[in-house]
Amino acid sequence: MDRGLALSLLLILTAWSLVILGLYLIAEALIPLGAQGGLSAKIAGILKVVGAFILLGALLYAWFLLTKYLVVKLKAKS
Amino acid sequence: MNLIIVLGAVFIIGYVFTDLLLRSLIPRLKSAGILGVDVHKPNRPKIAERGGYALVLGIMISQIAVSIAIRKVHGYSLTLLCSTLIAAVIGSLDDMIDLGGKLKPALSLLSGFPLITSGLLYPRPILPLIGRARLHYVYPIAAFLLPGVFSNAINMIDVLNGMMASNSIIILLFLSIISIISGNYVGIILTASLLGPLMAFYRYNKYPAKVFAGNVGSLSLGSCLASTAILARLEASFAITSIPLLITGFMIIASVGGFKEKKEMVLRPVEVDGSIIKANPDPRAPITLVSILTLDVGKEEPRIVLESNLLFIISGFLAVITYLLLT
Repeated sequence: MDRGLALSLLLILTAWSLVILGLYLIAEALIPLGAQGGLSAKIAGILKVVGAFILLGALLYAWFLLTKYLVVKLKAKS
Repeated sequence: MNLIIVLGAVFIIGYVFTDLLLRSLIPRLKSAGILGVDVHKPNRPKIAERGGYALVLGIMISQIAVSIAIRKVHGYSLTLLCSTLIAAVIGSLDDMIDLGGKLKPALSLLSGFPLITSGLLYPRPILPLIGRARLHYVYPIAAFLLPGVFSNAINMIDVLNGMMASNSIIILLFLSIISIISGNYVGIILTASLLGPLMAFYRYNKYPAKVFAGNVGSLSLGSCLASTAILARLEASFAITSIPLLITGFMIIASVGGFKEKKEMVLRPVEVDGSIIKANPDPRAPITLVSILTLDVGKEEPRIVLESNLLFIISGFLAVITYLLLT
């Protein structure tokens, strides 16, 4: 197996973890938003949702930077 | 038993209709001068462009056949058809007047309208680790955005002969398998009904291609796949089966800094030497699935398509595993 295919497989496995984690984070953050009634609880819920999206965005960006680093490194090696 | 016979008939109708359309359309496109250059071949042949019209009409016929044969799902199949047709109109406009890298993705979001106005959305999708989630606020927004997002993602993998069609067939096959496992009646019908037109199109689009889909084909197919996943409540399975698509879309957008057309990119992601495709050695070149697959070894077009198929198959198995173990 060449390095390009191996990197693609690695990307798929890491993206799989990210998709599951992302769906989990967003759904977990959204469930209390629909369930709670009070204003403060609603605000806390909204902040939790925003936090979940920011965390997910940061993870995605870190994933992109890592991929870019590996791609450039492999290009330099070949 | 009746369902199998009906689905078999719909498959044959979709396949034969698309096949006959392509047979008559390809020479007409050639004689009208609607041609695209196959840049990954040594002699750079000119191939009939916009064969996606036949694919869209094939999908239309199979969805009409499904809605007549199975009355229970006629609302679903007609909504799917509307979403596909809106994307086809936008793709067709882009083929004719070139909408540009920003207007095309923005307009393609319109293909989500039939979904949110159909009354068929169920904002309680089954998600891994969570089970049935309540997403009353976010779900309609996601359902509106997804067809447009996926039509552009599919558009981004329509770069090599047969790549878009074969990978879409794999996505549909895995969604069919998960629908069968979960007893999802709508899922089985919608996914199976799309296989006929798509397989017929693949026959003419595979290496060496006799026809290209054009934006009309790729945008409508992407919208069609995403709408199927939403209407059949296969959202999470679709997201996981489409991971290679998400990788390509995300990497291109992140590495070129936004939505840009192929011709707007200063550096090409790959270089072509005869029939060998290899990643552009420039570190600033855009990152795509094809450039990752050809990072250290130059490869021929059919091999790259085969490897992309392998990646989609692995993602499909991950979707099945996720459904069985984590849902």
